[in-house]
Formats: sequence, structure tokens, C-alpha cells
Amino acid sequence: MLRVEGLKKSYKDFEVLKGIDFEVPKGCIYGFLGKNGAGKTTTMNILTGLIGFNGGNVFYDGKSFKDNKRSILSMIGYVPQDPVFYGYMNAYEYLKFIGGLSGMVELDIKRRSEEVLSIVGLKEAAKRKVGGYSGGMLQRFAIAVALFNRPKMLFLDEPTSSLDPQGRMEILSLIKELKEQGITVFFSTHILNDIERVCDQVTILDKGVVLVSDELKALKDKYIKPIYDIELEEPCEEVAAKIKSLEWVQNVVCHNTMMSVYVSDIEASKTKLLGIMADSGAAVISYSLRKSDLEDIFIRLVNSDENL
Amino acid sequence: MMRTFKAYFKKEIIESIRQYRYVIIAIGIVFFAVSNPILMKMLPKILSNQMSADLSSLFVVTRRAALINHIGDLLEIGFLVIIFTLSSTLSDELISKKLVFPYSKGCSPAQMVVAKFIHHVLATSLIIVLGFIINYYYVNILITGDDVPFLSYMLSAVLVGVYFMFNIGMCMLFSSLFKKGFVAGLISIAVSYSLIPISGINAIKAYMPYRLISAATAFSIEGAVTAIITAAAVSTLFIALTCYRMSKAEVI
Repeated sequence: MLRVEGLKKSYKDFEVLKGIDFEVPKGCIYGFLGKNGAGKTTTMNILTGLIGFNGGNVFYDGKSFKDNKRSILSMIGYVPQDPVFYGYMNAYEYLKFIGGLSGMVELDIKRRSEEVLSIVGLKEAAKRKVGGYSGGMLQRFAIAVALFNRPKMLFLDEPTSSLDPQGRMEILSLIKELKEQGITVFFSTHILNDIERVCDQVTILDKGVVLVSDELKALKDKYIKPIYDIELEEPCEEVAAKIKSLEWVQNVVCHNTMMSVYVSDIEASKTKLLGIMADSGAAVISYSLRKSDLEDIFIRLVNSDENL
Repeated sequence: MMRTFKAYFKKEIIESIRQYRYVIIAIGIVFFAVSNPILMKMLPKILSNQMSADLSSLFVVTRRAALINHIGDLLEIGFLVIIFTLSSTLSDELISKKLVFPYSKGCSPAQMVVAKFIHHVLATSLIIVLGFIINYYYVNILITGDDVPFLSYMLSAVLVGVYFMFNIGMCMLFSSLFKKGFVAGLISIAVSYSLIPISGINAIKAYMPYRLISAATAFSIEGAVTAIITAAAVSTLFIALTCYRMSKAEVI
């Protein structure tokens, strides 16, 4: 469906994207993960034609984005992080405007307006001016607008980041429904739980570089490694620094008296870690081994100097 | 074909109604159309009350003088109202990220710019013509002597409309270049006013847009054809540059 090859983007001397590659298969929910400033939104903006790029290529269904921009844009939808509308219009008027831009006929615009407003649950508020909508309503309306011209692929830039838990669940279940309708969904987020709930494939981006790009299941199989959660009686910084220097310890995340130790050699850790803790004189309250989740994989990848 | 043009033309009409743009421009123009003849009528009386000697006989106000005075007022005050009302037409869309959805739906920047330009020129021209009709009506009721035919005055309205078209084109270009509409407006006014003294240079005055105003105050198109062609050509250039700028602008 979408293939990105060596995509580069710079602002003067600052290289935001350093030649990224990934491929989004048709009909999947694709998670685009990264810290703030990793280049997620820049990538989304390039893929939706809002900004240009300095190098590389983007292909939709094998067609070059550079050469077929307008026809490709007619088959995609985009929900920006902070959607802005003409606030003096009501939902029907704005959708009519978008329908007009998309070349839809009057009857189709009316029918589709009813459909998309039902999908996002905004039918009752459709005659109110959009400028008076709450944050959650704006997000849902943005999805309605993005879906309006029946896109084959939908881009969502951090769609759940500003929503309350119920709003988040609604958007995630909507994303699942879109997949069932055959729409390919590409969404960026820093909420790892959202990725785990709905995504089939994931790309992790950091400092303009793709760290990993794979199916979520394969990613878990490949990268999930044990983590030791250790609670101490005293703040753990000093002990953490000591443990971090060990060859088979990959990272140590320390928060007050809680410490998570990411290890690269499980056998070594099993036999040595407890002994080292005892030698350090730290009073251990609890010590447990857990299997890491996507959040742990993410932390491991963005904190490591080289790909795992 | 032309779907962006149609969508944006309709959108500009809705926006101008909801944001009282038509009302603001109409007030700026029609107010002077009505007040100018009244003030011209009262001017001799006001002056005679202010001065010890009776100088009122020196201020004979004719219909022609009142109509010329209205054109002058329109250029001073109405011009400011129009420019500052329209100066944020593109800068606001860019800065507030309102173009994200339209651009992501394949909107044509060139058609958007042309739709806005034609809408603004048509709306302004219609309000100017309406102001001239109202002004002509009141001048004929209140003031006597030195008639100007109605059609000649409408010709002046058209010439003033072409002059405003040139300024709206320039204002839109600046609006696409500057983030603040106020700055775009100020620069447009500065450029426009700085062209007035330059228009006095014999070698180039026939080409200068301000020649349109001289022709409008003479109620004749004589000698203004070159200026009309120049104004239309330069406006087209302004709009072409604006289209280029908007096609390259990063809207997010």
C-alpha cells in the first residue's frame, strides 16, 4: 500500500529525517512510535502532502507520490494532532466544503455527511458551530472529515493523546472498525498501550532514524527480554549506577526506590544480580522478574547506541 | 475541474457574512457616500460660524466638487478599511493551520488564491459601485450646479474598482508572505501611498495605477487605458506570485 524509501527531510542544517525506510501493507493498522521530536509528525506531514521532502521516495500502490500527488491525496485521509477548522461553520457546512474540494456531487455530500457523522457520533451536534466543540468532539470531527472522501488509507497523528480514557477507547475501537472496512490505518503515538491494543505492525523512530520496523508479534518475540523490578528501602541511584556498569546489564531505569534492570544475558543475571545487590549493602524490599512489554522494548531501543 | 475554486468561492462568501466582512467594508464605503455630501452641504455654514469674516462665498460647493471629494475620501479611509479587512486572508489561514485539511484533500493552491482574489475584487467592486450610487443620489438631492452625468460617475466607480483590484492583488501577495495580516496591510498601504508621488513623473505616469484615480476624478476614461492594462497585468503578476508562494508554503 505505502512504501517509503530513504526519506530525508532537513530544516536548514538540522536533519529531521535521515533516510527512513518502511513499508505499510494494505488493510493493516500500522503504529508509528517515537519520542517527542523523533520525526513522527514530520513523516506524517510528508506522507500527506503537507510539506515537501529533500530526498528519497514515497510510493502509494506502486505510484510515485512526487508524480501523482493530487490523485494520491484523493485516496488518503489525514487527522492532524491539533485539527483546526473554520470555526464559524457548522459540521454540515464544513463537510460540504470538503466534499466540494474532493469533487463530490451534492447528493453524495449529503448522504456521506450523515454517514460519517453517525460513525463518529456527532449527528446531534452537527448543526452547532465547530468553533464551539470540545477537544474530544474536534478529534472525532477530524476523523469524520478525514473519512469523508472514502480514503483507502487514513493517517492519524497522535489521535488519542489529548483525550480522556473513555475518548481514547472510543477512538481505538473506531480504528479497529476502520480496519474491518478495509481501510489501512497509519497512526503515530507515544502511548504504547494504544499500539499494543490495536496495531498489527510497528515502526519505532528515534532522532530521524528507524530503529525497528516489524510486525508487533515478531517484535515481541524478537525483543522481549526479562526485566528485574527491584524495590529498595533507600533511593536507588547509587546502586543503579553500579549495576549499570555491568557488562550484561543493558539499562537501568531508576525511580526513587524502584529500579528496573534490563539485562542482555539472562543466565548471567540469574546467577549474579542478587549477589551483587547483597554485596552493595542495599536493603532489598522486593525482587521480581517480569517479561517486558512494548514500553520496555521502546525504552531499550531508544536508549541503546546500536540496534538490538 | 475548478472544484477548489468553487469550494473556496462559496467558503469566502460564508466567511465574509459570518465574520461581518461585507458589513465592515460596506460601512467603510457607504458611510462616506452618505456623510460626504451632507458635510459638503454644511461646510460653508460651518466655516461662516468659525470665521469672523463672511468667507462662505469663497466655498461654493458644486455637485462635481462633491463627487470628487467623495472619491478622495474613499481613497483615504475606505482604502484603509478594505486593506485591513482583507490583509489576513492568507496569513490567517497559514498561521492557524486551517489549510491542513484542504491541502491534505488535494486542494489546488492556485485555484484557492484565484477564488479568494475574484471574490474580494467582486465584493469590493460591488460595494464601491453601491457607494457611488448612494453618493450620487445624495449629492443630487443636497447640492446643485455643475452636473456630472450618472454614467460618467459609474465609469469613475469602475476605475476606482480597478485601482482597488491592483491593491487587493498586492495585499494578497503580502498576506501570503507575512505571518501577521496587520503587517501585510501596513506594507500594502505603504507601497500604495509611495506610488502616488511617483505617479507624478511624466515619463511613467500613464502606466501607474494612480492614473486611474486621476481619470476617475476627471470622470473620463481618457488617458487611463494604459493604466487599466498595467493594473490588470501587475495584478495578474501579483496573483501568479501568490499562487506560487501558496503552492510552496508548508501549511503545518
